[in-house]
Amino acid sequence: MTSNPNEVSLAWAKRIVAAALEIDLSEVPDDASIYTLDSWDSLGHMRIIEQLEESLGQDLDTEMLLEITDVVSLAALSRAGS
Amino acid sequence: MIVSFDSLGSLFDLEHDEQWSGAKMAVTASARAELLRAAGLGAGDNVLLVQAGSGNFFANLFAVWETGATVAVLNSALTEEEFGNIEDHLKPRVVLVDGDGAEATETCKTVVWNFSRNLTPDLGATQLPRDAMMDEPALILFTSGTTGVPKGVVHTFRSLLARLALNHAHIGAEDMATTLCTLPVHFGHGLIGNCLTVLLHGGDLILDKGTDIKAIGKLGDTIDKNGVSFMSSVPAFWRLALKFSIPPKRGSLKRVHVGSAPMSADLWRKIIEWSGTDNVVNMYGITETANWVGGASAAEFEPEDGLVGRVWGGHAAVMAEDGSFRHEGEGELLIQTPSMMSSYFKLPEMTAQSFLNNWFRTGDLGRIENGVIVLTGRKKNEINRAGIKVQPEDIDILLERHPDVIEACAFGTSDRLAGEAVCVALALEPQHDLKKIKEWCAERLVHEKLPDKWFVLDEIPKTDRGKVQRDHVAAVCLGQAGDNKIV
Repeated sequence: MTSNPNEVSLAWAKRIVAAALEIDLSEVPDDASIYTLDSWDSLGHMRIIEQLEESLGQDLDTEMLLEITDVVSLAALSRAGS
Repeated sequence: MIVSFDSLGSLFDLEHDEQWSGAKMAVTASARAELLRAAGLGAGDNVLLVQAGSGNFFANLFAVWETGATVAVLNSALTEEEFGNIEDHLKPRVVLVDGDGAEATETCKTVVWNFSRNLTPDLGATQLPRDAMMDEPALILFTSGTTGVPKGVVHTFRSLLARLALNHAHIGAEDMATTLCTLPVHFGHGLIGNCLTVLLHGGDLILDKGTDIKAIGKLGDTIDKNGVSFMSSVPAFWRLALKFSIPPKRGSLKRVHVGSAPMSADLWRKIIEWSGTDNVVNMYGITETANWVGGASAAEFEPEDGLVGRVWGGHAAVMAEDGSFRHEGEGELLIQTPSMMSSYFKLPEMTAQSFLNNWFRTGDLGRIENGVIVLTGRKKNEINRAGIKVQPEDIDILLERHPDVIEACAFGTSDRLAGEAVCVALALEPQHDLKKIKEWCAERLVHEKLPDKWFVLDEIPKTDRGKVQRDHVAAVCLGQAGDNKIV
């Protein structure tokens, strides 16, 4: 069972990406990023941000949105907000 | 020399931090043209230009035109297989690349020439090149050809110059004084409309990468810093810009074009608000007319879904369902314009079928009232993914080459961000591995055309005559059909 906060937030971030891009969770590696994942292009980025904002229940600041480039930075956002 | 480079504007490449004055561009193009001519290149020869937008791209383009040869501009992100398919069809004399060169050209059969590396061309010339005439081909833009026979739209020097002159007349030099291009240059909207119209009429052109989310996030700032007066893009770009970028503050924008895909009235109004000008123009352009052939500005019209205004040089008509030809009314849109293509490259039958009594059949549906065009749909199968046109047949043919794919049927589905998403339905062998099929496809198909959604069916539904209807396959995949039977 996963209990490490970093692992929990990483798993959450990967689920956000998979749901937004409509791909299987197994297709999102721990180091998935806008540079490595085919479907994470600029439009994919928009889908991820929308999924993220829906999940968090709030709109995020524009500058913060541009800092998100991979699942690790997404996960960090989860920890910062929790 | 048919195209004049006497009054070129300057080019600023933000991604590579490069600046080219108009004079530098003209001199560089002339010097390169001399080398190409000395190597035997001239009218009647085809050149593949495989570069992203940059100063070197335009210097190469202008150099080839100065020799009188024909340029086919290709997406530098094409896979080797896609490139090879077009190379075999076009049979170019030379392939021009830049920097490290496009990866896809590494195994090509043609001489690859890179001016940045000062390579000396050897084209094996046996006779002196000749100059081009006005009605000889200048530019070929491929609108399909991933797998099957490539569809290359051929523009002569005359049709190209006609479109540039018409664009200039409708836009005006003042609006184009400082123009931002975020579009790729391998299709008409970016190359002819956003770049050549400006550069060849003395306007300054700023190139920025429209697919980079960081660059999009700085759009307002880029417009302010550079005093951008004009830009053109696609609806999907604006959905991103409205989300990620704060608006410009200095009021420099005088004109904004949006084209290559349908724009809703709602998005139109949001762009007006963001950009600070009501001169936001919904454009209608097709590669066959060399890009924009009509436009409706919110400064003149109330935004309306599909409204693209009057023809920019030429005439529009419709062919009604009963086959009758009308200047007003509803039906398939027909266009006559001085910037009409001369043909589809090496496809005489397809060319003939595209015209009806010298009117070009656009495949778009619309209505014309008092000369104003409103687009309402389309007859053709084409999928419009964020302004990039994808031919579903190309994807079918490619995927059906995979040993585990029994049958494939690609189709478009509505997508809030991209306008349309690329989907594919597959009937597969029992032992299939879908992940591997996706990887196999990604190795052979340029990224922007890769299916967004994959559906595995027991079989591809067909009509009682055994034909595939893409609309019904889409309905089955999306759970909108009652059953798999087509009547």
